[in-house]
Amino acid sequence: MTRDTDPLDQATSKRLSQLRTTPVDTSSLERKLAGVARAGDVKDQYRFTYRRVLRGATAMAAVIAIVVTVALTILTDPSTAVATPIELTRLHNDIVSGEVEMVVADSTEAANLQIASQMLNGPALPGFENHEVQSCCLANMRGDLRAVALLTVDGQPVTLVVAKGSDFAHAMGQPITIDDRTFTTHEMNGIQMVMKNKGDLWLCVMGHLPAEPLARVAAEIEM
Amino acid sequence: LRLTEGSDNPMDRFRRLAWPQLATLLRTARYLTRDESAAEDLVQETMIRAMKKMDTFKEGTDIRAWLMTILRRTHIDLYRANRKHENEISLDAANLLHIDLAANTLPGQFDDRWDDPDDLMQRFEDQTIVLALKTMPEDIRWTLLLVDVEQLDHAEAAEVLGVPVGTIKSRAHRGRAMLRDRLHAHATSIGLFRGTGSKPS
Repeated sequence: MTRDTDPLDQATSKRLSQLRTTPVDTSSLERKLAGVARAGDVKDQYRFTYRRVLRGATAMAAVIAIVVTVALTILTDPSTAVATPIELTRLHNDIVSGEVEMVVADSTEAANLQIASQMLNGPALPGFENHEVQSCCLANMRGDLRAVALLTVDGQPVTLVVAKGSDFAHAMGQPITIDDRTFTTHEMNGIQMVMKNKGDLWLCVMGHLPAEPLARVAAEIEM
Repeated sequence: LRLTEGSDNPMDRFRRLAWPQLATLLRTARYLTRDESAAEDLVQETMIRAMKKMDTFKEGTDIRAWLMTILRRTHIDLYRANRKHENEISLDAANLLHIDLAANTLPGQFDDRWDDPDDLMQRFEDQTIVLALKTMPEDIRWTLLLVDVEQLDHAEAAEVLGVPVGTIKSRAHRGRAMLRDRLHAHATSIGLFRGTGSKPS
């Protein structure tokens, strides 16, 4: 008896083929991809241009580093910008692993001055009352800027991204409410993201932590 | 989305050829990832990559095989750096498989059914089959997904996975046996078989 005529093999193959008839709801995915499709053409992304870090100025408790990067996200047209969870987690991993070279500053104010000198009307990093800021950077996508900061929360590195653009899209997930403020959560590769759009700003706090402590960080930030 | 026949515009080709395969990609991604959210992320990234590469697709060839190749590459890229979570998938699936079988079957229900393999295989719920698939080695799982679930021919599956056709045939045979072993082992471990039925081979 050959493999092709083995009744056990045939029965197993037949049963597996029935999985193809399982209903698949693509509506959520279609909504996510609709903006992408509208964007029309897809440009290469994630081509970070790094400025060499001036390392060593680490005497202050809150040491802030600045970096100019190009292209966090792939897809954009005048009305649509999409930050895929994959790109966000990759950004987080790159920053945490130190692959992003940084220009060191010595305070949040100095960081924001550096950002302002690089791009007029770029987003400013919000201040942090209760969390140590390790570093930060500026991501630039076709003039659409994202300010990125690395914090330490409960001993874990946490990345915060602030972007301009009320139409900045993000993946949808379960809502979480902290101090009467509701955020959207999304998880990928063990990295939890907590996001919110408000006015002309989009905020994402992410790291290997549950949603709640990340949402507490997000709730501290005035947008 | 508007379909435009015969257009050379990559975006139109994407809408016409790739977009209708969304359900196929999402279904396959579900069998590769631990939950719906991860599956959607995987397909989202796959479709974005497909859009970028649309001008490299040769019309007349199988769009499913082309997209599956991108899906596989994307899956590797996404999870290469995250082996820990891949292991979690298998462990979760193993636990769920145990629970699922216990919930949907009665002791002794499966006895002697390997003598009628079609009948026996039909007694396993879809979810049970999927969970068993998720506990299998990835190259085997991919082979079964392409050959048995999505019904690609051996040559197409070989192209997607970058291996010879003979390897696909061998993996498919081995994978089906492995699937039966897993189903049998779990069913036996919770007393659904009394051990009198012939073992799958």
